[in-house]
Amino acid sequence: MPVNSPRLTAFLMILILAALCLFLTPFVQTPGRNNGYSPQQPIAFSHRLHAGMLQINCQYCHFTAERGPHAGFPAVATCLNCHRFVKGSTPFNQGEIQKLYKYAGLDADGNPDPKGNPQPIPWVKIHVLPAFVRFDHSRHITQGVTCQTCHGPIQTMDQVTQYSSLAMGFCVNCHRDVDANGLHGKKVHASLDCAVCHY
Amino acid sequence: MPDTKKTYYKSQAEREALLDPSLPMPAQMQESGVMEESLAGGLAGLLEQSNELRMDRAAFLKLTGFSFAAAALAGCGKAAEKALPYLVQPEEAIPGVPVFYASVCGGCSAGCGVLAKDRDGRPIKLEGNPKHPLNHGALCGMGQASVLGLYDTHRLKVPQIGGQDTDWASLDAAVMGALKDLRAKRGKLRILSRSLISPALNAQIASFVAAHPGAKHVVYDPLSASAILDAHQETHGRRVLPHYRFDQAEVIVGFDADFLGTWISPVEFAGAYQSGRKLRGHEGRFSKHFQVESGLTVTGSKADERATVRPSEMTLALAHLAVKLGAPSDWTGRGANPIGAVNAVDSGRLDAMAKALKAAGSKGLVVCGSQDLKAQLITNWINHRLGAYGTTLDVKRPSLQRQGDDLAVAALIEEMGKGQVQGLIVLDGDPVAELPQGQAFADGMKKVPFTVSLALADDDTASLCGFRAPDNHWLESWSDAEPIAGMVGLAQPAIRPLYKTRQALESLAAWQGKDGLALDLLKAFWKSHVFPAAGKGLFFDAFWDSTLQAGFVDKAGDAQGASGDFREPKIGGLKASSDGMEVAFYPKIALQDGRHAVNPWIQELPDPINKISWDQTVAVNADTAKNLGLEEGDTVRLSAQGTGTVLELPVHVQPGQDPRTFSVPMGYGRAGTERFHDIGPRWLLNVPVVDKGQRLGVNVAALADPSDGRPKWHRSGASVSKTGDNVMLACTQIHQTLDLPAYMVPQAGPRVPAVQEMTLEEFRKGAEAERMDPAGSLYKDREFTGRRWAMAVDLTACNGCSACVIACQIENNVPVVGREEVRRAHEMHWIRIDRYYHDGPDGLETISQPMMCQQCGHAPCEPVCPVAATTTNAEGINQQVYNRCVGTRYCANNCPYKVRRFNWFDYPAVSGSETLTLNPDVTVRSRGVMEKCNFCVQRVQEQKAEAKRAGRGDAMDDGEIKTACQQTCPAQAITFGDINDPKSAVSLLAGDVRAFKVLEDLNTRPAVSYLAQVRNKS
Repeated sequence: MPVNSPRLTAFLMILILAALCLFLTPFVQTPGRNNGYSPQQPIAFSHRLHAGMLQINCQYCHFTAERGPHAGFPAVATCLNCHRFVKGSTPFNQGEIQKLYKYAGLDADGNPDPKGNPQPIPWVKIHVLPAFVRFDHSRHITQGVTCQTCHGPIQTMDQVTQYSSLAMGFCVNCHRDVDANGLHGKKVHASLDCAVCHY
Repeated sequence: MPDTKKTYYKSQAEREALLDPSLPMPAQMQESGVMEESLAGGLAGLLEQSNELRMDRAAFLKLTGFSFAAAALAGCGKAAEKALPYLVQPEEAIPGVPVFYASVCGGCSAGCGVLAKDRDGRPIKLEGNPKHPLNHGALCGMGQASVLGLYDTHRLKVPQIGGQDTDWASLDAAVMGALKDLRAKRGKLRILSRSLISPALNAQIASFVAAHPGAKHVVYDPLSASAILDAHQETHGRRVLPHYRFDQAEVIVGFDADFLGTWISPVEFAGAYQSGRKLRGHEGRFSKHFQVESGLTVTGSKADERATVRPSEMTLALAHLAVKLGAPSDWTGRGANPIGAVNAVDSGRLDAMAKALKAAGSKGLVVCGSQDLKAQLITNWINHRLGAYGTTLDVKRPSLQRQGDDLAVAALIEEMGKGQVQGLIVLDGDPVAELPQGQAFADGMKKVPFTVSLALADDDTASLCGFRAPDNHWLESWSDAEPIAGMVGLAQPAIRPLYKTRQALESLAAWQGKDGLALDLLKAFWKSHVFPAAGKGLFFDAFWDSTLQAGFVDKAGDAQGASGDFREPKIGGLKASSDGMEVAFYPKIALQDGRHAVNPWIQELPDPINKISWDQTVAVNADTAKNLGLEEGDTVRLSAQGTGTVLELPVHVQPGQDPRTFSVPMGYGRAGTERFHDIGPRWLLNVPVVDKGQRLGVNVAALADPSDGRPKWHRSGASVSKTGDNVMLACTQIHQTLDLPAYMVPQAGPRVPAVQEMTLEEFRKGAEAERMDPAGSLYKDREFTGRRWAMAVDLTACNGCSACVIACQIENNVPVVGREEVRRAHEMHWIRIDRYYHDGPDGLETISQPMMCQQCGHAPCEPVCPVAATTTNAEGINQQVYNRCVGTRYCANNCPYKVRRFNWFDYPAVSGSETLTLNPDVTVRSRGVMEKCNFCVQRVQEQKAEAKRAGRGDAMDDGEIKTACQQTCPAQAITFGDINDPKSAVSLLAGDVRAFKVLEDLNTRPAVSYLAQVRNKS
């Protein structure tokens, strides 16, 4: 039986569109909301070992965190400050350190290798902010915000996972909170202006 | 009280409409007729022309369906981003924090000191070096834009022999072989360059020339000052260009010298000129400025008194002035019977000039841009008569910014034409395009067997050269610069060479068989030549390091000294110029001689006088246009006696234009501008700026007058004939003009115009700017308890040079939209220069007004935004949140200042590598988003972060934050700061007697104050 009702057609069209939207929603990502993202890295660098057990200060490696907007990734040379001598106690660790030597263009003993081809380590970036957001590490670190406030218990992570959503609500909640209650007992002014992050 | 009843107009059409109410206002034309019609007509017309584009309902639905699917797909998935750290991190490299390298601007030969801002290893912006004695932190539009040249993908990337890519070793072997032959045959070798201000390079050239018998270095300048140098040879016994000291002058008379815009060293001159007219409250000195010119320039628009003459009458006008100052009366004719009255500059005007100059004595200054030797001799005589040498003109430490010798160039072209030159090395410049005798030069080049070009890109000259040895961009070079004798700048690279290019200094050394990197060659030169004079007891390394950091050193005591004797010039045989029209070719702001013609920022910059971007026009006086039956946009064929060249150009009716002169900007028709075919948004109905393979505009060189060896950029016997076409010029002045119908004009009384001015006399008597007391407000006043950022713009200082426009464009990633989009009023500049004309008692008066977002306290844009994408923040900045904006454009509609810009499209850069100049601190806006000036909020945030890093908390000094427009302003017209701090500079200016706000009666409470223009009228 041919149906020739404009109302029905319109209704069906809307139904199909709605179903399509529902179906596509899980595939559409809103910017920033990536908590739980934990990709495998080219070297199985463990923050639990370095920052947790060995108590190496975060800013030994991420030294630009208090000097500029980006915390930065340590240069390969920074790793070698220790790993010229520390060659790993377990076969797994030794294997990972050998990968480091390869990136640094050193031979298996950690000595300069004329045949070596130094290459930067292609770390997979985890915390990615959308292009319309600015975040300055130094402004937060110099005011006493800890790394864990955003990065969570990083000192317990073998493989780094994005802990916070880094969505706008996450930032604004914290700004509201410290504006009202201060930070470490100290009064601070955390602005809620849009232009603090968006410009 | 200033006269706020003045009637300002923005174009000739508007002026006529004001005089005759029956004519439509241009703004109304735009709103209701011409503009829409042409826009709609264009769309429909194009749709009709092209069958493929005709879209029926089915096609439309198909397309929409596709876009929906594409949008859905785009949202899915995301590639993992990689973060590549350094292998060894350089000490000063902090990701995201810029490093500034002191260097010397290579945009032209003025030699201003710059700080190149490097972000993560690449220069993205140039700022003037605040400590440099020449430019004091300022930079012109051309200098600002020159950073893009570094990333120009059309640059030569490797050396070439006969058009084939090669390597440096092969090129060197071939060049050295040819040079050896030349030496053996004692063949004539010529090195041609524009003025080079690098002492190290000049020394290298000298040693190169010395090693080749029969070799000679010839210097030319596209905008030559050869006559000034030659005149000083005659009067002072030394071929020098004086260092003009506008800061010392109390009376300035300019003849055809656009010294605030394009002449020799405009940034320095604008700053010095401004320091002679600094007003605070009712105090402060104020120089007097007369200008005589043929077309309207920014310098003329700033002058207190202005007169127009034809270019050929300039010398006669000067002679009349000299006679009034006591020169032999036969300079202007025999005895009491002087050659005709000077047409436009009446005797009264000249009397006033003479009187003012006499009163000023050694504090007077006459400058002349003419290439007529007699005009320059008379200028020298007047300046000598005034005793100005030593105060307003310095020949002891002369300027080296122009060294060109037109007679030597003419001799070279003759030699080449006769086939006597065996070798030619074009070290710098594009003489085929830039010289008035370009065609003769090109013909001559064909007779030279050995030709080398060091040009960065394939220009008209390089394409004729057998060998191409591309030079580095100046941001990749180690160099030095001595713009004023003894004032030596040191230029360091801000990036490694991007391509396999080599510096001229290295190439010349290599061809002499001396290996060496530019740095070593430069250091060796400095050790022997600069260090002994300027070392001040330091070790060389310490001296080098400190100079490198500062960017310059003063080699004082190195005065070369022209001889003290003044030889009276012999002036005779001045003739009255023939009647009839003349054509003058003038350098336009930023484009100037066209050396950066491929730079889209420069091409899109609306000229501050005619407000036209992209288009090359013939400026015609309004009465002349009426007599000739010409209207705005009419295409004409322009020709002149004695040349077969005909230029086809559209007409612009220009107020303030000499009635018997047509003015045409030079610098167009240059190689490489074919690329503008691809500029602008990519969409179905895009109209390219130029047709495929065509250049932008026409080269006017062939119409210049090459007689007597010193080519003059004007010609007599000019005539125009209509072609019958009319084009719509990309003129931004009347864009978005709001014009109220009579029944909607508020009853409250007359409105105050957007600009205010007063005479110096009124000002000294206590005149103040007129303020409007806005009525109360329905809204509660917003309280700014902490800081409130504000700006003050001094209209007395601003000359409209538009450096701020380009600086803002670079700083804020403002896209280039192309000519068609500008025609449709879609230009994107966040700051624009509004130019208003006004008929004064003795001629046209012009005011330039920089207009940016006024950051209103009661912002009309805010309540109409349905998504709160624009709000005033706690510090008074009207913030635009791109990610919130949904593009309704209500805000732009409601903005009375018309400073909001909408991204109608995504505007791609011309080529990939040009995106490297994008500022990473500023979001690149996408299609469908509104944007506008935000007081460089990224700079505010950066300085706040800096204060926190330095442990200063929230404390900041006044003047610590400089917006991009303020930073680059040669006249220091813009001040930015916290208006809630009563001691800040901006607070003092906002409370000044000259301060007013634009459209204050609308109760928008702007944060930008303007300071009224003051003119020193007699």
